[in-house]
Amino acid sequence: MSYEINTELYEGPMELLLELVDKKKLDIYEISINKITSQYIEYISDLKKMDMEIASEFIFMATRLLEIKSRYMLFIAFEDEGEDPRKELYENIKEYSIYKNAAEIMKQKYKDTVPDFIKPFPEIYIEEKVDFEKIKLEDLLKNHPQKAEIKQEESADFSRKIISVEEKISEIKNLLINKSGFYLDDFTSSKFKDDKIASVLGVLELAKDRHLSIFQEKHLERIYVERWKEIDK
Amino acid sequence: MINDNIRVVSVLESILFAYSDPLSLKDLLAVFEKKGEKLRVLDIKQALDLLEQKYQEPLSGLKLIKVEDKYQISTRSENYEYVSILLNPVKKKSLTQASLETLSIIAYKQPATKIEVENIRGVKSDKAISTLLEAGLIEEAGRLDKIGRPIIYKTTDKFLLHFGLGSVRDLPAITEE
Repeated sequence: MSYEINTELYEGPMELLLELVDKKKLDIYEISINKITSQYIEYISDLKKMDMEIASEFIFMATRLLEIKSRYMLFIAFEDEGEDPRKELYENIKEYSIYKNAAEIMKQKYKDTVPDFIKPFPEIYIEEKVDFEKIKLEDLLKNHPQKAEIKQEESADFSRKIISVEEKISEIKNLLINKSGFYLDDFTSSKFKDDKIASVLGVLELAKDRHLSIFQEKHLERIYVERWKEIDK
Repeated sequence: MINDNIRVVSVLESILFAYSDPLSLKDLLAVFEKKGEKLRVLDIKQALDLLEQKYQEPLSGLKLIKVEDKYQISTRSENYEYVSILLNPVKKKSLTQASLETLSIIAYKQPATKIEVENIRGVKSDKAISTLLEAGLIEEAGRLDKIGRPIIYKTTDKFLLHFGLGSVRDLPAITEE
Protein backbone atom coordinates (compact mmCIF):
# COMPACT_ATOMS: atom_id res chain seq x y z
CA MET A 1 0.00 0.00 0.00
CA SER A 2 1.66 3.17 -1.08
CA TYR A 3 -0.90 5.71 0.01
CA GLU A 4 0.78 8.97 0.59
CA ILE A 5 -1.02 10.92 3.23
CA ASN A 6 -0.57 14.55 2.43
CA THR A 7 -3.24 15.42 4.93
CA GLU A 8 -0.85 14.35 7.65
CA LEU A 9 -0.34 18.00 8.46
CA TYR A 10 -3.92 18.29 9.53
CA GLU A 11 -5.76 16.04 11.92
CA GLY A 12 -8.92 16.55 9.95
CA PRO A 13 -11.09 19.05 8.14
CA MET A 14 -11.79 20.96 11.34
CA GLU A 15 -8.13 21.64 11.92
CA LEU A 16 -7.66 22.82 8.36
CA LEU A 17 -10.66 25.15 8.68
CA LEU A 18 -9.38 26.49 11.97
CA GLU A 19 -6.03 27.15 10.39
CA LEU A 20 -7.65 29.03 7.50
CA VAL A 21 -9.66 31.08 9.95
CA ASP A 22 -6.70 31.72 12.25
CA LYS A 23 -4.57 33.05 9.41
CA LYS A 24 -7.00 35.90 9.04
CA LYS A 25 -6.89 36.61 12.75
CA LEU A 26 -10.37 37.96 12.57
CA ASP A 27 -13.51 37.42 14.47
CA ILE A 28 -14.85 34.25 13.06
CA TYR A 29 -18.14 35.88 12.07
CA GLU A 30 -16.38 38.42 9.91
CA ILE A 31 -14.85 35.83 7.69
CA SER A 32 -16.47 35.46 4.37
CA ILE A 33 -17.92 32.05 3.82
CA ASN A 34 -17.12 32.54 0.20
CA LYS A 35 -13.42 33.00 0.77
CA ILE A 36 -13.03 30.25 3.25
CA THR A 37 -14.89 27.82 1.01
CA SER A 38 -12.73 28.57 -1.99
CA GLN A 39 -9.53 28.40 0.04
CA TYR A 40 -10.60 25.13 1.53
CA ILE A 41 -11.41 23.61 -1.84
CA GLU A 42 -8.19 24.95 -3.27
CA TYR A 43 -6.26 23.27 -0.52
CA ILE A 44 -7.84 19.89 -0.88
CA SER A 45 -7.64 19.86 -4.67
CA ASP A 46 -3.90 20.40 -4.33
CA LEU A 47 -3.71 17.10 -2.55
CA LYS A 48 -3.03 14.61 -5.26
CA LYS A 49 -2.93 11.53 -3.16
CA MET A 50 -4.97 11.03 -0.07
CA ASP A 51 -5.83 8.22 2.22
CA MET A 52 -9.37 7.30 1.20
CA GLU A 53 -10.69 7.37 4.74
CA ILE A 54 -9.33 10.82 5.47
CA ALA A 55 -10.10 12.09 1.99
CA SER A 56 -13.77 11.31 2.39
CA GLU A 57 -13.90 13.42 5.52
CA PHE A 58 -12.20 16.35 3.86
CA ILE A 59 -14.49 16.10 0.86
CA PHE A 60 -17.55 15.81 3.05
CA MET A 61 -16.59 19.09 4.68
CA ALA A 62 -16.15 20.69 1.26
CA THR A 63 -19.72 19.77 0.32
CA ARG A 64 -20.92 21.09 3.64
CA LEU A 65 -19.16 24.40 3.01
CA LEU A 66 -20.70 24.65 -0.45
CA GLU A 67 -24.11 23.93 0.94
CA ILE A 68 -23.73 26.56 3.64
CA LYS A 69 -22.48 29.01 1.06
CA SER A 70 -25.48 28.54 -1.18
CA ARG A 71 -27.88 28.73 1.75
CA TYR A 72 -26.12 31.88 2.88
CA MET A 73 -26.66 33.49 -0.50
CA LEU A 74 -30.38 32.82 -0.18
CA PHE A 75 -30.21 34.11 3.39
CA ILE A 76 -28.81 37.44 2.20
CA ALA A 77 -31.22 37.70 -0.71
CA PHE A 78 -34.25 37.19 1.50
CA GLU A 79 -33.17 38.77 4.73
CA ASP A 80 -34.53 37.69 8.11
CA GLU A 81 -35.39 34.25 6.85
CA GLY A 82 -34.51 31.97 9.73
CA GLU A 83 -31.07 31.58 11.24
CA ASP A 84 -27.78 32.53 9.71
CA PRO A 85 -26.71 29.28 7.98
CA ARG A 86 -23.09 29.98 8.88
CA LYS A 87 -23.83 29.93 12.56
CA GLU A 88 -23.60 26.18 13.07
CA LEU A 89 -20.35 25.89 11.19
CA TYR A 90 -18.79 28.78 13.04
CA GLU A 91 -19.86 27.35 16.33
CA ASN A 92 -18.34 24.02 15.35
CA ILE A 93 -15.06 25.72 14.53
CA LYS A 94 -15.12 27.61 17.82
CA GLU A 95 -15.86 24.49 19.80
CA TYR A 96 -13.12 22.62 18.02
CA SER A 97 -10.65 25.41 18.77
CA ILE A 98 -11.52 25.21 22.46
CA TYR A 99 -10.71 21.53 22.59
CA LYS A 100 -7.65 21.95 20.46
CA ASN A 101 -6.33 24.43 23.00
CA ALA A 102 -7.33 22.10 25.80
CA ALA A 103 -5.37 19.32 24.12
CA GLU A 104 -2.35 21.61 24.08
CA ILE A 105 -2.70 22.30 27.82
CA MET A 106 -3.20 18.61 28.51
CA LYS A 107 -0.11 17.75 26.51
CA GLN A 108 1.97 20.02 28.72
CA LYS A 109 0.41 18.65 31.90
CA TYR A 110 1.04 15.11 30.71
CA LYS A 111 4.67 15.95 30.00
CA ASP A 112 5.17 17.72 33.31
CA THR A 113 3.66 15.06 35.51
CA VAL A 114 6.15 12.58 36.85
CA PRO A 115 4.37 9.46 37.88
CA ASP A 116 4.92 8.48 41.49
CA PHE A 117 5.58 4.93 42.39
CA ILE A 118 2.66 3.19 43.93
CA LYS A 119 3.04 -0.17 45.51
CA PRO A 120 0.99 -2.84 43.75
CA PHE A 121 -1.79 -4.49 45.68
CA PRO A 122 -0.05 -7.13 47.80
CA GLU A 123 -0.67 -10.81 47.56
CA ILE A 124 -1.28 -12.03 51.02
CA TYR A 125 -0.59 -15.62 51.90
CA ILE A 126 -1.93 -17.17 55.02
CA GLU A 127 -0.39 -20.46 55.87
CA GLU A 128 -3.06 -22.96 56.54
CA LYS A 129 -1.96 -25.72 58.83
CA VAL A 130 -3.68 -29.06 58.92
CA ASP A 131 -4.52 -30.24 62.39
CA PHE A 132 -3.57 -33.88 62.25
CA GLU A 133 -4.94 -34.58 65.68
CA LYS A 134 -8.45 -34.19 64.35
CA ILE A 135 -8.02 -36.47 61.40
CA LYS A 136 -8.76 -40.09 61.88
CA LEU A 137 -7.83 -43.01 59.71
CA GLU A 138 -11.47 -43.37 58.65
CA ASP A 139 -11.46 -39.82 57.28
CA LEU A 140 -8.50 -40.63 55.12
CA LEU A 141 -10.09 -43.80 53.85
CA LYS A 142 -13.32 -41.98 53.12
CA ASN A 143 -11.50 -39.51 50.94
CA HIS A 144 -9.37 -42.06 49.24
CA PRO A 145 -10.56 -42.65 45.71
CA GLN A 146 -12.28 -45.95 45.62
CA LYS A 147 -12.96 -48.06 42.68
CA ALA A 148 -16.54 -49.15 42.54
CA GLU A 149 -16.89 -52.87 42.92
CA ILE A 150 -16.99 -54.46 39.59
CA LYS A 151 -19.20 -57.40 39.11
CA GLN A 152 -17.31 -60.45 38.17
CA GLU A 153 -16.66 -60.08 34.50
CA GLU A 154 -18.04 -62.88 32.51
CA SER A 155 -15.94 -63.95 29.65
CA ALA A 156 -16.81 -61.79 26.75
CA ASP A 157 -18.11 -63.20 23.54
CA PHE A 158 -18.41 -61.88 20.06
CA SER A 159 -21.90 -61.91 18.73
CA ARG A 160 -22.81 -62.53 15.14
CA LYS A 161 -25.33 -59.79 15.10
CA ILE A 162 -23.73 -56.51 14.40
CA ILE A 163 -24.89 -53.76 16.70
CA SER A 164 -24.62 -50.29 15.23
CA VAL A 165 -24.01 -47.13 17.18
CA GLU A 166 -27.22 -45.73 15.69
CA GLU A 167 -29.20 -48.52 17.29
CA LYS A 168 -27.57 -47.81 20.61
CA ILE A 169 -28.38 -44.13 20.29
CA SER A 170 -32.06 -44.83 19.79
CA GLU A 171 -31.91 -47.30 22.67
CA ILE A 172 -30.46 -44.64 24.94
CA LYS A 173 -33.06 -42.16 23.79
CA ASN A 174 -35.85 -44.62 24.54
CA LEU A 175 -34.33 -45.37 27.91
CA LEU A 176 -34.28 -41.71 28.80
CA ILE A 177 -37.94 -41.18 28.02
CA ASN A 178 -38.94 -42.75 31.31
CA LYS A 179 -35.74 -42.41 33.29
CA SER A 180 -33.72 -39.30 33.90
CA GLY A 181 -30.45 -41.16 33.85
CA PHE A 182 -28.52 -44.34 34.39
CA TYR A 183 -25.13 -45.62 35.49
CA LEU A 184 -22.80 -46.24 32.62
CA ASP A 185 -21.67 -49.60 33.95
CA ASP A 186 -25.28 -50.83 34.04
CA PHE A 187 -25.72 -49.84 30.46
CA THR A 188 -22.56 -51.55 29.29
CA SER A 189 -23.17 -54.77 31.15
CA SER A 190 -23.78 -56.76 28.03
CA LYS A 191 -21.47 -59.67 27.76
CA PHE A 192 -20.75 -58.97 24.14
CA LYS A 193 -17.75 -56.79 23.52
CA ASP A 194 -19.07 -55.09 20.42
CA ASP A 195 -22.26 -54.30 22.33
CA LYS A 196 -20.18 -52.69 25.06
CA ILE A 197 -18.22 -50.67 22.53
CA ALA A 198 -21.34 -49.53 20.71
CA SER A 199 -22.90 -48.52 24.05
CA VAL A 200 -19.96 -46.34 25.02
CA LEU A 201 -19.74 -44.80 21.56
CA GLY A 202 -23.48 -44.09 21.65
CA VAL A 203 -23.19 -42.30 24.97
CA LEU A 204 -20.23 -40.28 23.76
CA GLU A 205 -21.99 -39.36 20.54
CA LEU A 206 -25.07 -38.13 22.40
CA ALA A 207 -22.93 -36.24 24.90
CA LYS A 208 -21.11 -34.56 22.05
CA ASP A 209 -24.40 -33.43 20.55
CA ARG A 210 -25.48 -32.17 23.96
CA HIS A 211 -28.25 -34.66 24.56
CA LEU A 212 -26.51 -36.16 27.56
CA SER A 213 -24.47 -35.03 30.50
CA ILE A 214 -21.93 -37.32 32.09
CA PHE A 215 -21.04 -37.06 35.75
CA GLN A 216 -18.53 -38.59 38.06
CA GLU A 217 -18.42 -37.33 41.62
CA LYS A 218 -15.00 -38.55 42.51
CA HIS A 219 -12.13 -40.21 40.79
CA LEU A 220 -12.86 -43.91 40.09
CA GLU A 221 -16.49 -43.67 41.12
CA ARG A 222 -19.42 -44.87 39.07
CA ILE A 223 -20.15 -42.75 36.05
CA TYR A 224 -23.68 -41.43 35.81
CA VAL A 225 -25.31 -40.43 32.55
CA GLU A 226 -28.36 -38.23 32.38
CA ARG A 227 -30.37 -36.01 30.09
CA TRP A 228 -28.57 -32.85 29.03
CA LYS A 229 -28.62 -30.15 31.61
CA GLU A 230 -27.24 -26.65 31.19
CA ILE A 231 -24.53 -26.35 33.76
CA ASP A 232 -24.01 -22.96 35.29
CA LYS A 233 -20.49 -21.71 35.18
CA MET B 1 -7.44 12.09 73.31
CA ILE B 2 -4.29 13.24 71.54
CA ASN B 3 -2.85 9.80 71.99
CA ASP B 4 -5.89 8.32 70.36
CA ASN B 5 -5.53 10.67 67.39
CA ILE B 6 -1.98 9.53 66.93
CA ARG B 7 -3.10 5.94 67.09
CA VAL B 8 -5.66 6.55 64.33
CA VAL B 9 -3.02 8.14 62.13
CA SER B 10 -0.76 5.16 62.68
CA VAL B 11 -3.52 2.67 61.89
CA LEU B 12 -4.48 4.57 58.76
CA GLU B 13 -0.90 4.64 57.56
CA SER B 14 -0.61 0.89 57.99
CA ILE B 15 -3.86 0.26 56.17
CA LEU B 16 -2.98 2.54 53.27
CA PHE B 17 0.46 1.03 52.97
CA ALA B 18 -0.73 -2.56 53.05
CA TYR B 19 -3.77 -2.11 50.85
CA SER B 20 -1.91 -0.04 48.21
CA ASP B 21 -5.01 0.63 46.12
CA PRO B 22 -6.90 3.88 46.71
CA LEU B 23 -9.27 3.89 49.67
CA SER B 24 -12.13 6.29 50.35
CA LEU B 25 -12.99 7.88 53.68
CA LYS B 26 -15.93 5.52 53.82
CA ASP B 27 -13.73 2.47 53.35
CA LEU B 28 -11.43 3.66 56.09
CA LEU B 29 -14.26 4.45 58.46
CA ALA B 30 -15.70 0.99 57.89
CA VAL B 31 -12.48 -0.58 59.17
CA PHE B 32 -12.85 1.14 62.52
CA GLU B 33 -16.54 0.31 62.61
CA LYS B 34 -15.77 -3.36 62.20
CA LYS B 35 -13.50 -3.11 65.21
CA GLY B 36 -16.37 -1.55 67.12
CA GLU B 37 -14.76 1.86 67.29
CA LYS B 38 -17.03 4.80 66.72
CA LEU B 39 -15.28 7.45 64.69
CA ARG B 40 -16.65 10.25 62.58
CA VAL B 41 -15.67 10.98 58.99
CA LEU B 42 -14.17 14.16 60.34
CA ASP B 43 -11.86 12.18 62.65
CA ILE B 44 -10.54 10.21 59.70
CA LYS B 45 -10.11 13.38 57.69
CA GLN B 46 -8.18 15.05 60.46
CA ALA B 47 -6.00 12.00 60.91
CA LEU B 48 -5.24 11.96 57.19
CA ASP B 49 -4.34 15.65 57.34
CA LEU B 50 -1.91 14.81 60.12
CA LEU B 51 -0.46 12.00 58.05
CA GLU B 52 -0.04 14.36 55.13
CA GLN B 53 1.73 16.82 57.40
CA LYS B 54 4.03 14.10 58.57
CA TYR B 55 4.89 13.21 54.97
CA GLN B 56 5.69 16.81 54.19
CA GLU B 57 8.61 16.70 56.54
CA PRO B 58 11.95 16.34 54.75
CA LEU B 59 12.59 13.14 56.61
CA SER B 60 9.77 11.36 54.82
CA GLY B 61 10.05 9.60 51.50
CA LEU B 62 6.36 9.00 51.03
CA LYS B 63 3.45 11.09 49.91
CA LEU B 64 -0.28 10.93 50.48
CA ILE B 65 -2.13 11.33 47.22
CA LYS B 66 -5.80 11.95 46.77
CA VAL B 67 -7.56 10.82 43.64
CA GLU B 68 -11.29 11.48 43.40
CA ASP B 69 -11.85 11.36 47.18
CA LYS B 70 -9.72 8.27 47.53
CA TYR B 71 -6.42 8.17 49.33
CA GLN B 72 -3.27 6.30 48.48
CA ILE B 73 0.36 6.30 49.50
CA SER B 74 3.00 6.84 46.85
CA THR B 75 6.67 7.71 46.73
CA ARG B 76 7.73 11.31 47.01
CA SER B 77 7.98 12.94 43.57
CA GLU B 78 11.43 14.37 44.28
CA ASN B 79 12.80 10.87 44.70
CA TYR B 80 11.46 9.58 41.41
CA GLU B 81 14.79 9.36 39.67
CA TYR B 82 16.38 7.43 42.49
CA VAL B 83 13.58 4.93 42.80
CA SER B 84 13.47 4.38 39.07
CA ILE B 85 17.05 3.14 39.07
CA LEU B 86 15.93 0.01 40.85
CA LEU B 87 12.40 -0.20 39.55
CA ASN B 88 11.55 -0.15 35.90
CA PRO B 89 10.42 3.40 35.43
CA VAL B 90 6.80 3.84 34.53
CA LYS B 91 6.97 4.56 30.86
CA LYS B 92 4.34 6.92 29.67
CA LYS B 93 3.12 6.37 26.18
CA SER B 94 3.47 9.46 24.11
CA LEU B 95 0.09 10.57 22.90
CA THR B 96 -0.64 11.72 19.38
CA GLN B 97 -2.46 14.94 18.59
CA ALA B 98 -5.55 12.90 17.70
CA SER B 99 -5.46 11.04 21.03
CA LEU B 100 -4.91 14.24 22.99
CA GLU B 101 -7.84 15.98 21.31
CA THR B 102 -10.06 12.99 21.88
CA LEU B 103 -8.95 12.71 25.48
CA SER B 104 -9.58 16.41 26.11
CA ILE B 105 -13.08 16.22 24.72
CA ILE B 106 -13.88 13.16 26.82
CA ALA B 107 -12.28 14.70 29.92
CA TYR B 108 -14.22 17.94 29.72
CA LYS B 109 -17.49 16.55 28.43
CA GLN B 110 -17.57 13.26 30.30
CA PRO B 111 -19.39 11.06 30.06
CA ALA B 112 -19.15 11.39 26.28
CA THR B 113 -19.92 9.17 23.30
CA LYS B 114 -17.75 8.53 20.28
CA ILE B 115 -20.23 10.48 18.16
CA GLU B 116 -19.81 13.58 20.33
CA VAL B 117 -16.06 13.35 19.93
CA GLU B 118 -16.33 12.87 16.19
CA ASN B 119 -18.77 15.74 15.79
CA ILE B 120 -16.34 18.15 17.38
CA ARG B 121 -13.23 16.81 15.70
CA GLY B 122 -14.86 16.26 12.32
CA VAL B 123 -12.98 13.00 11.84
CA LYS B 124 -13.44 9.37 12.73
CA SER B 125 -11.97 8.74 16.15
CA ASP B 126 -12.18 4.95 16.62
CA LYS B 127 -8.44 4.58 16.63
CA ALA B 128 -7.83 7.37 19.11
CA ILE B 129 -10.48 5.92 21.43
CA SER B 130 -9.07 2.42 21.28
CA THR B 131 -5.58 3.77 21.97
CA LEU B 132 -6.86 5.63 25.02
CA LEU B 133 -8.78 2.58 26.22
CA GLU B 134 -5.69 0.46 25.82
CA ALA B 135 -3.58 2.97 27.70
CA GLY B 136 -6.16 2.86 30.50
CA LEU B 137 -6.75 6.59 30.36
CA ILE B 138 -10.44 6.25 29.57
CA GLU B 139 -12.97 3.53 30.25
CA GLU B 140 -16.46 2.59 29.26
CA ALA B 141 -19.11 3.98 31.56
CA GLY B 142 -22.15 2.14 30.34
CA ARG B 143 -24.41 2.94 27.44
CA LEU B 144 -26.57 5.90 26.61
CA ASP B 145 -30.30 5.25 26.66
CA LYS B 146 -30.76 6.39 23.08
CA ILE B 147 -31.16 4.81 19.68
CA GLY B 148 -28.20 2.55 19.03
CA ARG B 149 -27.34 2.55 22.74
CA PRO B 150 -23.93 4.15 22.15
CA ILE B 151 -21.14 3.43 24.62
CA ILE B 152 -20.25 6.34 26.85
CA TYR B 153 -16.70 6.99 27.98
CA LYS B 154 -15.17 8.63 31.00
CA THR B 155 -11.65 9.21 32.21
CA THR B 156 -10.00 6.88 34.74
CA ASP B 157 -8.09 7.41 37.96
CA LYS B 158 -4.98 6.58 35.97
CA PHE B 159 -5.75 9.55 33.77
CA LEU B 160 -5.81 11.81 36.84
CA LEU B 161 -2.54 10.37 38.13
CA HIS B 162 -0.79 10.73 34.80
CA PHE B 163 -1.94 14.28 34.35
CA GLY B 164 -1.22 15.30 37.91
CA LEU B 165 -4.84 16.00 38.75
CA GLY B 166 -6.58 15.24 42.02
CA SER B 167 -10.01 15.18 40.47
CA VAL B 168 -11.82 15.93 37.21
CA ARG B 169 -12.85 19.17 38.87
CA ASP B 170 -9.19 20.23 38.82
CA LEU B 171 -9.04 20.29 35.03
CA PRO B 172 -7.78 23.70 33.91
CA ALA B 173 -10.57 26.00 32.80
CA ILE B 174 -10.94 26.29 29.08
CA THR B 175 -12.28 29.39 27.39
CA GLU B 176 -13.14 30.40 23.88
CA GLU B 177 -10.03 32.50 23.48
